[in-house]
Amino acid sequence: MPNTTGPKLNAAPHGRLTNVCVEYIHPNKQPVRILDIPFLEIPAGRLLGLRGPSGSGKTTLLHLLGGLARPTKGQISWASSEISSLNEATCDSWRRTNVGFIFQDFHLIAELSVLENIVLPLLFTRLFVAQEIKDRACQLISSMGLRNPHQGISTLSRGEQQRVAIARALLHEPTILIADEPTASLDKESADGVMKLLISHAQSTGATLIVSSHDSQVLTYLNEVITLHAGRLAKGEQRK
Amino acid sequence: MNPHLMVRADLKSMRGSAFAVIVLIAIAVAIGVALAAQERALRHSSAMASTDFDLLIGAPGSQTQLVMTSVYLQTEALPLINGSVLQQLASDSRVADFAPIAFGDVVSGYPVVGTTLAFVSRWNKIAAPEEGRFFTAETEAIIGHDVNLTVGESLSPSHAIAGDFDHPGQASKSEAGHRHEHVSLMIVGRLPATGSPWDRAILIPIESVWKTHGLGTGHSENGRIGLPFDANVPPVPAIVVKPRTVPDAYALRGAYRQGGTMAVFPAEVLVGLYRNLGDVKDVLIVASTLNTFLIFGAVTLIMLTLFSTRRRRYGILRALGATRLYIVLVVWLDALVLIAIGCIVGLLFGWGLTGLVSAFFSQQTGLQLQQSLTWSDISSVLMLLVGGSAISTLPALAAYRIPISESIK
Repeated sequence: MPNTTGPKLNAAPHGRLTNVCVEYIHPNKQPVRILDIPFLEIPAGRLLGLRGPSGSGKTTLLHLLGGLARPTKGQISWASSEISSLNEATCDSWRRTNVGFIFQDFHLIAELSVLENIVLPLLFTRLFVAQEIKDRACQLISSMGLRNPHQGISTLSRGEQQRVAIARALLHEPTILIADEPTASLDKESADGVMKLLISHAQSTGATLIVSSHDSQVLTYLNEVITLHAGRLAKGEQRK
Repeated sequence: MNPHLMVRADLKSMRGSAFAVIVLIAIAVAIGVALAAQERALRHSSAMASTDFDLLIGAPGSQTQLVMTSVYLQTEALPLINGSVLQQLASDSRVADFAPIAFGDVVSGYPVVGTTLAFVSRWNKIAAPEEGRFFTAETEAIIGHDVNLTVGESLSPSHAIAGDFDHPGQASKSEAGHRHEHVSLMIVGRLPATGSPWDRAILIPIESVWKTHGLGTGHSENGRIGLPFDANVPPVPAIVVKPRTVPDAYALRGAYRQGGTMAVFPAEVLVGLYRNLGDVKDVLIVASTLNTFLIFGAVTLIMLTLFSTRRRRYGILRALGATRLYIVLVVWLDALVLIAIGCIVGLLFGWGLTGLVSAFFSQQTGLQLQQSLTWSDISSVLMLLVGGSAISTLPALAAYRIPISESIK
């Protein structure tokens, strides 16, 4: 029986998609299938790349894997948690506990400081953030090469902002890291720095890392890359 | 959960709109508070000013004008009543005391009122003037608390011109041309404050007014002032009567409503005025309530618009693990904080507005309006706050159904 709760997973889980498809209803009232994946396995701790042209379904797949969206049909499970069948609140809890998201546009809160942005997700369920967690956040900030945890977001470069977003995703020590075009708006040097940080963290914690990117250089950091075309997995997977 | 960081960030990010929302709500609240406080102050202060005027006798005409002229010194030319009425009152056992009042002259915009010592001392409630002494001769005057003249100063009253609007402390152009040059009065004292327009009056013996206008003095003996008057007493515009008992008051009112006189209880006239004032207030309150509804409607639309521009922001929070309840709480608190600040600012602004209007009114009339903030003011603002918190649930409910995946793409 699949686990219907969202406990913290102790180790990177094994992911599996079975007969997953996503459809939306076109204005002409006909269903349009935008993702169709009969079967996909993501071994625990895998560094997985996802590529494909715009509109191929990369972001949709990432959202399904992160519990942000539900498939029209099919099952998605991570270890024993079938997230596609979790209710909304349980799925929120599972995502909050197990998944770290990194977005192309960082999606930081511009009015908060570096430290406040990083600890913000903890306040979704807590009244206060303990000092030891703040200390850990400061260590994380420092390890990302950022100096001042109280600095305003708007004063940071784009590379620095993405590092803050990574720190935010890592603070709760997720076992699944999902990055959607994390380097698309960065210069090459910053992009390399960001990818090294993500790989380094995933390898040191054993987390599963899934990165979508158009940049073939970025994908070379990953040990497996799958390609999507029109919502379907392309034949032949590249394995590093 | 702790929405504090996000609420702070949201309010900071929508500073301009937040300011507009606060100003709109503050205006709605201020108008409501100011209306209620102003009407209450006017009612209370006008009632206080009429305390010593139990019964007024004048010539038949407008009761309201008699009260406005005698109590509030809104001087208009009143028809005169025969001086013999004073003689009748002197011998009436139902009368504890009485005093004639005569108007018509001004000094530097201050009305000059002729009366007797009994009324100057407000039926002996004022034991001694604040400064100097009471008048004891026809040629002496005592000034109200707010009259900007000094004890020891001499003055010559001028005949007030009907239609001239006197500004207390400022001599009008017509004053110099209508001065009673042959009359010189010495200020001998200053009365304590009463909070009424009488604080801006110059009080002189009634005999002095009669004599100035060539009507004699009401006494056969030269230089005498006060009761009793002799047989040929000159006419007066109004008489204040202090009845011995309440039944006496009603009996006197009945008795002097005939035979060429009119008797009124100022309190009764005020009740009629308050009724009209209340009607006006009701209309204003309806207008103010409609205004409040319109403003809160506009605020709701602003909040919904603001929310729709922030769907992505809240979608990101959901992606990061925020529960629906957290988002609803943040959006609700965003709106509630703005409405609460608007209510507080409005309360203060309304209070300040009442003060300004009261000061202007006092400047114009001399009636000191006693401003007060009551529980009803605060409770009406609290009700607005409760209504506002209900309105705030609209954008919050809209936030409840944000589809995460769509909002962050």
